[in-house]
Amino acid sequence: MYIGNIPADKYQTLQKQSFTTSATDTYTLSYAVSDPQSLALFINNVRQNPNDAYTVSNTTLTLSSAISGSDTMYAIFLGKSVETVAPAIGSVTGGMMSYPLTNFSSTGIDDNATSTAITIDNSENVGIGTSSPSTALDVDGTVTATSFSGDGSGLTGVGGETASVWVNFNGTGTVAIRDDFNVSSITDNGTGDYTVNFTSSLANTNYSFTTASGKNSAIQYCVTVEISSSTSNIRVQNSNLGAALVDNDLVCVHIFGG
Amino acid sequence: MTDTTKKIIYKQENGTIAILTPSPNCELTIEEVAQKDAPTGLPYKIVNVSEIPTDRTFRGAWTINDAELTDGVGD
Repeated sequence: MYIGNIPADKYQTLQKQSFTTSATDTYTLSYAVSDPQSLALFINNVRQNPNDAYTVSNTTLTLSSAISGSDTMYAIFLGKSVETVAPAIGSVTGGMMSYPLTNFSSTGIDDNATSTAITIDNSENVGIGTSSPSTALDVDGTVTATSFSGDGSGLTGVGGETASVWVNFNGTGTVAIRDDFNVSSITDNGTGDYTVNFTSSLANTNYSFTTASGKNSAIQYCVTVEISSSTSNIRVQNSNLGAALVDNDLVCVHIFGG
Repeated sequence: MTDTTKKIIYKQENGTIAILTPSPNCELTIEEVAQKDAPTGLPYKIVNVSEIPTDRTFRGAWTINDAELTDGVGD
């Protein structure tokens, strides 16, 4: 109960039950009551005397005599109150919440109801800065992070700041690839003659490439030149200063753009 | 992941052998690499690495019988 203005964070109200009356002396209560004094019963807006005018047993209300359908009757449950509490800021902890959280509004989560910071759609895509995420995580804005994991093989739309293809391989003996990015295989076409095959084709052949090669076992001046290039591979040859093709144990090819 | 214990061989138009070495980072199977990287229409064979000579002195003279290139044809 309260007097005056409703308290901001906590107040109680009593429960009222109105009855549809008829020519009977027995009615069912919405809540179980332990004794007649816990119930204030009004018939035609006149409060009735507990025990004399009515008795209760759990949810059964029994009048001392039947009333008619033209009478009005309602009860106030004096022992039954509903407490409404507005939790103080920062007072709700995880154990007080029900999971999973559902029924997000269509405009997502934001500190401003007129905009959308985070949206989780019914396809379980998460949008940050967008209310219509098209992928598992769709960010409309700049992402700042201390690190990213993964091998980067699925990256698309990356600008020319990073290599589209690179490989480091041993061109002697049976060709062996030490490491690479976006390379499916190296074709050994013959002495000093290799084709680097791309895992994912490049968009065009306007790419820039560099090559380097050498031998660890002996000083050997050599040049590596492009013989042919396409969106799916590039063929290079190593030759010494006498223009003879040679195998080198360190051959590197890097491609930017494309 | 590509099986790097295998290599793919096919005969080039000039009659010499080309040898495809799959990347250890490639997610494609050896068969997929062969079909993708062998030239279109050329038959290939998938062999163990140990079957490839390590002495490349006469690399240009390596050859193979066409009848042995039976594992597929480049796309």
